Amino acid sequence: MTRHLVPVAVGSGVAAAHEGGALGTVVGTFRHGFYVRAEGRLYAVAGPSVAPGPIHLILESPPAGVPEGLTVWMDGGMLCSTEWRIGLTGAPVYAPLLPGPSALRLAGPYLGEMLDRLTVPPDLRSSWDQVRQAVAAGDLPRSRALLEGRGGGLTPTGDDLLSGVLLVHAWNGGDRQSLGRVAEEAATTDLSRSFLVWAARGQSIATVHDLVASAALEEAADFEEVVAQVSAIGGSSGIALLWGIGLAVASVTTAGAASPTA
Amino acid sequence: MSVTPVVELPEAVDVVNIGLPLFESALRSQGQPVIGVDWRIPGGGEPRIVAALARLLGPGTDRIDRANAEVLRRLDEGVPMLVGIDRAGAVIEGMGERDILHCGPAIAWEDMPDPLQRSVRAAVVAEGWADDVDGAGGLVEAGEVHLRPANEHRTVVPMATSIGPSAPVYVVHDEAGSSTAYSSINQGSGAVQWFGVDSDAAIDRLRFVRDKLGPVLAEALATNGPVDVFALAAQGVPMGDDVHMRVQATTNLFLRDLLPSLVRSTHAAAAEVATFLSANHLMFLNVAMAAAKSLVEWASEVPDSSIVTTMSRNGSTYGVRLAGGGDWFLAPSPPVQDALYYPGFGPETSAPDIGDSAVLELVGLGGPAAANSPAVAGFLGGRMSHAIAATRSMQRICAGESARFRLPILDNVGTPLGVDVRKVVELGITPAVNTGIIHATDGSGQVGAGVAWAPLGCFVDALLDLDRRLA
Repeated sequence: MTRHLVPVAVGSGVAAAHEGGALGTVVGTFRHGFYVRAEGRLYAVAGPSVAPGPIHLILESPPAGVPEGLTVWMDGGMLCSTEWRIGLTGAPVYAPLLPGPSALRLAGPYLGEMLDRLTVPPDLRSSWDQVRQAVAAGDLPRSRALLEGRGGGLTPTGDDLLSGVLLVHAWNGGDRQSLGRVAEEAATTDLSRSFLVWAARGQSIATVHDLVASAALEEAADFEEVVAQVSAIGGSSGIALLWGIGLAVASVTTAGAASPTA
Repeated sequence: MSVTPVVELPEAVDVVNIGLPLFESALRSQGQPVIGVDWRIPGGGEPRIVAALARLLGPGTDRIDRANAEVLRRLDEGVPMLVGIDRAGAVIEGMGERDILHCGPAIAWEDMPDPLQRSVRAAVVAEGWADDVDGAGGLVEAGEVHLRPANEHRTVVPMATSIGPSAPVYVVHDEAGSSTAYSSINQGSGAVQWFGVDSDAAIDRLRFVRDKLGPVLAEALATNGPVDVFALAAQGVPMGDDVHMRVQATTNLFLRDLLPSLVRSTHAAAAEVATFLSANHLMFLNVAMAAAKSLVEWASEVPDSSIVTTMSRNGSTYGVRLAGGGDWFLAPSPPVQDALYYPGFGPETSAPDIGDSAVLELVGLGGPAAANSPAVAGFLGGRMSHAIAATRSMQRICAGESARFRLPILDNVGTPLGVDVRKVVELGITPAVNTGIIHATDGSGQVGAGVAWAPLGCFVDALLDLDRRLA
């Protein structure tokens, strides 16, 4: 019997992965859901305990018993498999508010102070000085070369940091095409690259957008809470992402609306 | 004086990826060589499953292994002989004159998927109980026709087949185990009932099978004498058959054996039957299924075993039983994952996995024999290495290997034999079943073929039940 699953937040990366009628396949499962890959793009289908994001399809309740290898496709506005249907037409689309250069400048002090409290991810320590220099200089190709696929985790630590950098440059008005190229060309896992691609478009998970908003509004309690939430993501993913945002914000607010090397 | 050690980093790194394949595929797409190790947390890490595995692979091992050795002996040393063809209602024990035997575990009419409902309606019309399929559906809904799982009557039927009492069935007897089993006669390709079609032509084909094909083959078998089914299958495997998805070579061997008797037939339909046989490359499938059923029936009498002796699907549920158990353990029937479709069809138009033919995977044929079959490789990506990988995965979950079915491509090693539920649950690897795919809703018949991976849930439940029984 086909189950009908109810979406509560749909990232733009879900439909984009199936553009041109691309068939997807369930390539992995985790406690709260599963991953689908279609034409090299990945997205996650998960229950409400996972934060909304550009490559997240959040359901009313966690999907159960989804086998690896299951084929997934789009039929009009319906995401389908032979086991379930998810109606995407009319479902709430995840569309986070993207901060602009002025919001970044306002958020700068909070984010800078945040860096003083973060530990350096162990798997980036050996190249840490070079990473900081490249990010501070706005040198995205160099940053990518130092960070792509580096470190442990389902999304490698280096990619998490790089996604923070790309987010800031996208929010600061950087050229989307150049930023997109940095993301697309990253030598890493498909999952990580999918996050990078959306970071280059200025989108990340909801808590990251809350982070910048609370910093810009100087809402100290909210900011601390969000920092704690992001820090708790993955083994070191959240912390690396915060480093990327913090370092990049420092570079762009120092240089004004900088034109990154991309 | 201390000397600072010099660390020399390698110029190249060889990668072995253990577990999640996302990393392996990322490296491959970047042109890096990588060895992938398919590792998962035993039992999914669920405490009650891990505890059961610890008992069944620890203190319970000797008792289970002794039972499994006997099961393997029966699966490997039984000699199923095709002894004849007879009327289902006359030879199948417990089959009533108003019964329809269907594939898979027991299922109510209203829960049957569309292809199986169509199949039942066609069988009812062919029996002459109703004038048309609408009337047939009405009879079943009114409870005037009894639906029973073929498996519980020592019978197996492929895909969406269902049979009434007048249908002819192969009778296969294993003298070593004194077990007899039955299967329907293959209806050929096209718009036929076993692919979930209930058109007039499909019903006419059922009548042809009953009134012409069955009698001609029965006569030929009577003249020829019993046929050693697995002796033919053992020749067919090195010729590229997996004897499930592809049975072309074995069908030819079978018909070659029967040819002298067939040409002597005095039946009026002999020429028509010969034309049908020459165009049906699937003829041996049902014969092999009946033979496999006779062996698993014998093996199922062994108590305390962890070997699977029933694996069957009705298009809605997937059921397994263990030797010495008897209870069915069910999970939703999965889609056929690795598939090739006819033009215009895809997963959205396909019914879930269906049929009793997975009995072949339990005796060393089908998925276990995939490695030597270029035809199966075609469904798995095209390369023989893909087919070999399917056999390798079966090796990991089987308790032994066949002495009679051998794989030349793997240095003549025997095909994996005896699916061990402990290994399935520990490794999270389920049997690969080579199978056809039929349309989910419109009764147009076969839309492709592929490899279906059994759902894990029913194996987990069977394991937990074995643990309770042995406590």
